[in-house]
Amino acid sequence: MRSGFGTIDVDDLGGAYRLNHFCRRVGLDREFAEAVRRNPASMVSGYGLSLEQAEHLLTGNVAALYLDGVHPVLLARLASAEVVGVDETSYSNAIRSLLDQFTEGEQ
Amino acid sequence: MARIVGGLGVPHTPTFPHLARSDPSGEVATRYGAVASALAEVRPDALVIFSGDHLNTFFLDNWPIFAIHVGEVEGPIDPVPGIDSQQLLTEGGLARAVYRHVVDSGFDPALTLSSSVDHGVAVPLYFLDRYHRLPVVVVHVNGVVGPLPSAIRCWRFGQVVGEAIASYTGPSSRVAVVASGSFSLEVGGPLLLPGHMWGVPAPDWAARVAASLAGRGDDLVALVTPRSLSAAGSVAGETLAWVAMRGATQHLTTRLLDHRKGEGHAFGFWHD
Repeated sequence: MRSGFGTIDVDDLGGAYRLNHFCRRVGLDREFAEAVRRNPASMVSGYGLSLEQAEHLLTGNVAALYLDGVHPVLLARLASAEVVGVDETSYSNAIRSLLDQFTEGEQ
Repeated sequence: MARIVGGLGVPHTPTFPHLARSDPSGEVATRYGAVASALAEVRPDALVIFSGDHLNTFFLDNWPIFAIHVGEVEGPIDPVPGIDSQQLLTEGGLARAVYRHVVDSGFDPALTLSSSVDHGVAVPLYFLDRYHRLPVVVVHVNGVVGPLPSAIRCWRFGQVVGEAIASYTGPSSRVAVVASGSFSLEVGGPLLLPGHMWGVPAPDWAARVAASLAGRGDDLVALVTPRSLSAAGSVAGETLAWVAMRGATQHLTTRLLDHRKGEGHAFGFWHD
C-alpha cells in the first residue's frame, strides 16, 4: 500500500496490475468506457479483482484506489471518462484528502 | 555525416493544441510558435524526440526504462482534443543507427518495430511540424514509474544518441533533437491544485532547472535527483527527457529559454 506521494514506485504498484489495467483501458478504449458507464458492476466483475478492489472501483473511491497502487496517471482517467460516479471536481477533492493523511503520517 | 543543428524542449499538455486553435495569438500558440520558428531557421530534415510514455504504449506487463521505436509508429494512441491518430513519417535508418550505437555503448533499450506513441510525441509534433513533413525517431525515457533512470545515466544516454546521429550517413544530414515534457507536474495524485486535475508542486525547483538549462546545464545532473523529482510531482520524471536532450546537444548554445514564475515547464531552443 502506498504511504506517500511523488514518483510512483514499483513497490507502490505491486498487487494492482488488474486495477491499473482497468483504468488504462477506460482511457484508451471508448467502447469499454461506455460499457463501464452503462453497467459498471458487470464490467468490474469480469476483471478478476479482489472484493476490496472491486468495491473501491465501483464506489469511485479514488483515494482508496490510489492507496491500492493505481498509478495516478491512470487513475485520473476515471474522472476524464466520468465513470463510476467520478468527475474532475469530486476526483480532485477526494485525492487531495490524502495529503492530510500523508502529512500527519510524517509528524 | 549528419549534424545536430538544433535542440529544443517543450511541454506536451494534451489540451494545448485545442487552446492554441481557440486563441491563435494567445500565450500557448505564441510560445510554441517561437520554438517552431527557431526550428524552421535551422532547416532540419529529421527530428529525434525524447519523450516518456504515460503507460499508453507500454504497460506494466513490460515496462522499459529506455526504448527506441524502429519501424512503424502511429499516434496519438490516447485522446488528444483535435488531433487524430495517424501513421508518423519515420527515419528508419537513423532509428536503427541510434539503436545499434546505444546498445554497442552499453545501454539496453527496448526495441519496437511497430508501435504507437501518445500525446508526449503528438503534442510537440502538432506545434513543431503540424503536417508531418519531417521524419522522426522516437526515443522513450521512463519518467513515470520509479525507480527512474538517474539523471547522469540519461545525460550519458543522450550523449550516446548524439554520437549516433553525428556518425549517421543516411538521408538525414541535419537533425534536431527534441525534449518533450514538464519539470514539475502532478497528474492525478494528492498534490493537485484544488478543483483541478493538475498541480505544480515545486515551482521554485522548476525555475532552478530552467535556469540551469538556460546556461550550459552543468549543474543539471546535481539538481535532478530522485528526491527532487518525487517532490516535483507524479510525472516530474519527464525532466529526464530534457536531460537526455541536453546530453545530446551539449555543443549547442542557448537561443531561447522561456520559463515563467510559478510554471512547471519551459520552452527552449539551442543552436550552434
